[in-house]
Amino acid sequence: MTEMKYYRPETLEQALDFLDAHGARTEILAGGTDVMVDVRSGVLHKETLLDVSRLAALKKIEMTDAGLCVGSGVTLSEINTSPLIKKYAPALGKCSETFASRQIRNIATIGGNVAHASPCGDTIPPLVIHEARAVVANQNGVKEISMDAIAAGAYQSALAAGDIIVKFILKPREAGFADFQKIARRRALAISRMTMAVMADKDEAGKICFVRFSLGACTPTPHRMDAVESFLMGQNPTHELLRGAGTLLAEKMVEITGRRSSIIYKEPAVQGLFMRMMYPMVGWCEK
Amino acid sequence: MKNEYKIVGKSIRRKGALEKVKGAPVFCADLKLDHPLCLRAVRSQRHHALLKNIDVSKAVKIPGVVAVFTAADIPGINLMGIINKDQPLLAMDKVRSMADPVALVAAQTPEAAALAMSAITVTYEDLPMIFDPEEALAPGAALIHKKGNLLCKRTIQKGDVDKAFKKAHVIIEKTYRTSAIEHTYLEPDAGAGYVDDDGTLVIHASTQNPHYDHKEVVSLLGVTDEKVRIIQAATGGGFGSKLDLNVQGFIGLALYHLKRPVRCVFSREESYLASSKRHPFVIHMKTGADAQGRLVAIKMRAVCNTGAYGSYGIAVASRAAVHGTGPYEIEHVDMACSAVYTNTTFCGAMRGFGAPQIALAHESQMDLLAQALGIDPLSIRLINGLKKGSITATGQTLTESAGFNACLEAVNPYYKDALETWVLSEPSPFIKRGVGLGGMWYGIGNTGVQNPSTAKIEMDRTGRVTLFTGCADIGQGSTTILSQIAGEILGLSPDDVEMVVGDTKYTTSAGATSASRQTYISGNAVKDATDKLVNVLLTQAVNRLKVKKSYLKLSNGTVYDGRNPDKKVTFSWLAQRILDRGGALSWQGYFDPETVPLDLETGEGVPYATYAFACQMACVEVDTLTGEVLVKKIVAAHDVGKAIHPENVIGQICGGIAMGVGFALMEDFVPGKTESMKDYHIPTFKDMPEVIPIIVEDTEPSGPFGAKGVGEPALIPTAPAIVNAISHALGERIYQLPASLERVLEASITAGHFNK
Amino acid sequence: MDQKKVDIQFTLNAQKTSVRIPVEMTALQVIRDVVGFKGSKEGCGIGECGACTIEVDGKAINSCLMCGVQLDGREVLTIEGLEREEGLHPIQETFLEHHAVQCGFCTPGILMSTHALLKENPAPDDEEIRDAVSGNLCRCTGYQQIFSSIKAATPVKDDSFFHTGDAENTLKKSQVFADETSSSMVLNGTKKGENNGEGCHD
Repeated sequence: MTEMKYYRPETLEQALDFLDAHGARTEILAGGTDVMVDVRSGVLHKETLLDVSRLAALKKIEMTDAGLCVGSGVTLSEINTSPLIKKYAPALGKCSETFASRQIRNIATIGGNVAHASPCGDTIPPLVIHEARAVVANQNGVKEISMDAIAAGAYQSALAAGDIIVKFILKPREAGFADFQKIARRRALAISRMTMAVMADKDEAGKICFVRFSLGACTPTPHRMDAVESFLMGQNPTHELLRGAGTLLAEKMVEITGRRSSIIYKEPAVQGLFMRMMYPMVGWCEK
Repeated sequence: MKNEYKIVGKSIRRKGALEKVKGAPVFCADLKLDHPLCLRAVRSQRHHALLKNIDVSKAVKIPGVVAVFTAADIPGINLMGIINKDQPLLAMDKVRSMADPVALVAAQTPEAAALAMSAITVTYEDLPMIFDPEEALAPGAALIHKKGNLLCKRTIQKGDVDKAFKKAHVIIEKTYRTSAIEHTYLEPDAGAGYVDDDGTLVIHASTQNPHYDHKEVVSLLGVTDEKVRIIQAATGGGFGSKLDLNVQGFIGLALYHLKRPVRCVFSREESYLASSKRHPFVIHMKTGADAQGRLVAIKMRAVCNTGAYGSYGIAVASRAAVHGTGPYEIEHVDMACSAVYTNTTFCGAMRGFGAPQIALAHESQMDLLAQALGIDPLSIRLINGLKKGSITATGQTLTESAGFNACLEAVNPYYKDALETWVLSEPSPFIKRGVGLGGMWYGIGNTGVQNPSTAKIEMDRTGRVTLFTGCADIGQGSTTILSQIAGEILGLSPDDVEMVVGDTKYTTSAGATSASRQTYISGNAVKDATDKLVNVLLTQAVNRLKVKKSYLKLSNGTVYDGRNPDKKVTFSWLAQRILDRGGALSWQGYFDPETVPLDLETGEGVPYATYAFACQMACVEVDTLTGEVLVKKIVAAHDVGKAIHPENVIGQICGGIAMGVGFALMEDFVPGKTESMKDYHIPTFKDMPEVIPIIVEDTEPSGPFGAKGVGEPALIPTAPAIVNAISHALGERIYQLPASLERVLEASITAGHFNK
Repeated sequence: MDQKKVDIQFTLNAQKTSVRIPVEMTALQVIRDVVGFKGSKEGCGIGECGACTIEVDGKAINSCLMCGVQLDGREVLTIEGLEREEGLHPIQETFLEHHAVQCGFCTPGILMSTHALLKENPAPDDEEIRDAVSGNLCRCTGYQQIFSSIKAATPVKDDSFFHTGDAENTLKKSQVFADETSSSMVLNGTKKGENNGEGCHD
């Protein structure tokens, strides 16, 4: 059944014009890895696919005064091979290593991953720890939305019809320690049950002088865990400390999710993954 | 592994692989048809209900819809089933699961078909739904089938278990559980059909048993045998699920009425909903041993959920009971396995027919006994392993080819090394390493019933040879090895043996590609046919060469004097001579394993003529913090009798292990919840261990060139070995599959590793 | 600008191809149903199995996830484009030699992932091979012989490894494949031996 129309704008302005006129009836198409699945299952009821996959304005990875800018149309493969991202946002680079499959990484975009607002979006925790702002454009201009605000709920992005994410601005940091880890049911092509991203630095005494941490996939929307960060700040990262932070993390998670059946696993697992990811820091205070 | 043959025992290039690397359009969804109609089954909206009315009036009016069929349109007998016939093609008076087809739509486009499906109104009268076998067996439970909810119960009784348990030094009694598993062959069920110039209904099917399909379609349509032709198309895996009819009946029905080309291809979601599953099991097992570690008694009560229809349930229950002891000699045996109907998607054959599930139990029991006795897991298996002269639970004496101990010995050096070095070095403070063993035995062929195979070999006037076999090659490589067997006997390269495979117009039944039976049974049928042809050639050659038959050899299309190779005669010369004199160059072969049906009470009998044996060793790393398990290495020693094609055997071993890794760690089909491949995980390349395959050849004299089988054996020891390894790593055992993240983390916490 | 059916042009196996397609159509459907090349398979339709893998501008992608219209202007390579005038592509050859094929349904997708990998990196290490092929599921082989096959083909020393052959002839061969051979297998279905599949194209 031929229901939908297709429009491929040449410029971002053309895209915005179109969205201004038809935004509510338009689905933005970038990589297609979510959109085409929805088309197949018949849940997509939009008039037009707006193909932004070739808009140069969305494809840049660059360092500006504002920060590390990653275009919304940048693919996970491009993230994977970007020297800028490896240097200034290594957790984002790491998440691209385990993202779905190579075939999907070659077309899936960071913008699509965020806009889809799936709780399991792997790019989200790294964006959160870099205090990323999504630069969202519409016909009326440009606004910046924080990662906390961009997801209104599971699968509900805060974006309005007529909005398009242009890029993400990350606070770059060449952190001494940075990582992204996930738990899934198999080692490739698997939706994450739990993800975490961290970056941290130590001072001359080996104490934590900077830390950013985010938990993903087990809460409906992404969360930067301030309480955990505060707990860790200024401390020697001992095994004890990490255990304490993990316990606190679990508490905070349960506060958000409530006690559901999956908590039986997630409560210890979140502590376990936290310990596993953060453990390399334990050597700091011993030097 | 010495090989004295020229063609058998060699890993030649696989027949049919060339077209696959080229991407040739040989699968049913690829075959070119002239404007085929799209067939879609409308399935039940209820788990269990009476079917009061089906209103198709709106659906047939939709543009592009050609017809909508219901049970009333089935001209023959509307019941199918590979063992017991209890499954309608289209629902008649009631539905028993959400997979039950109630109507069949034939339309010009998939879109029109989808519209028609939504426009069909079905009126149901709900009946109580039953999903648990225990509930189904409770007195007063609603009847899913008129004759009751118990499909069958297989019992095996030998000796006096109660007395023996009283004398046992140690007894282990545990309950084990496994879940439903989905075959997830890469090619979703598919078929394509058309009516031939002479009125024959031709059905190309992705199938494991074209001749069974033929019989079933003929019965459904009430026509003569010649009216239907089934051609096995390239089949993208089956693993047991493509034994039942999936699309063939629909295609036959549409062709019968509409007489125009049709195609029926399941989406992956429909395949998940409607095709058979592996039976989930609950197994209570009690095993007793003496102080020296000799097993003295075993008692097993197993229940498997067969879903809405019988399919292979009877075979699964029988196999589970027969194999319940594991590859061990136990004098006193009391086994019972029941298959029970419930209102879920029907369960049927899946690689192993109950043996993989039961192996979890018997192999875990062996490790628990070993632990209780202070004996190591390998030794206790050596002490009890079946060998030549052993008597099985059904009272069968194994006279030949029982290479279990050879498999254990082959694994032993790896096992020792893993325990002495590998396990002791841990890659991180949170990873625990473990090593586990899994042993297995597997009867080749169908349990205690006749399951013959036939084959035909023909030589024409020019000396060209064609082998006709109904044996479906679904990727396991049977076409290749059958050509090797014929080639070896004839002295011909397999390239010179033309194959006609799985076409009911030209081939005769080889039985199903299941039960790891084709190498042994069809191999023997092919050998039988070829031997007969060769005999005729040799007899004529004796006449020509004036040399005793025993001196004659065959090679390269000639018969020659082995002592004086220049004295020879070509096949074509012989063929012409034989045919001109009214002789026969077309010979039928036949083989049926020598079995004796099992006594209904005691199970006494000869269920199989031969058994494959194996031992696998798994090295695992358990993340004590998250419950993730990585299988690092599996050493797999398999007694296959004789490897006709060693790389094929290795391929089966690696593939079986992959399936076993999935069964052990990540596969869990939950009816109603598991809808697509997003919800169901089979191992990817990154989940695979390094596999070290070891082929053990304990010759089976009754097998072709000594061969037995390996298709199912490949997977049976894997999950038990992994579970035993996890238990070794954590010091805490898991009794239910899959050993998922949740279960492993729970075990880690219980064992005290988590809070270290 | 706005249209319910869209005209697109792309290069398919070195041949310029034009089609008019509905927007809902995936790239897989375009290749299989419109162009008629059946080598790329649908195993799941949702990007979870890799059987539909093709190469677009040198990158392996799941064609079931790509909107067909997005093929416009791209260079597309499918399994039908691997074979060359002089014979099989080296990786097709190595798959046969090292027994990487069982049921064959996943094979085209895996070959395409392999081709894309080796094009980008002619000397991948084990990890990279594993990573490139992990998006392709196989239920038959357990991946080990597939891995040996790919290892046997690396490092790629042959410059012509990625040469897709003369444009005209490549398509001609593929077209013959799509039209004649398959129809002879079905419509005139009385030929002996055709169903074992050896009849096509050897």
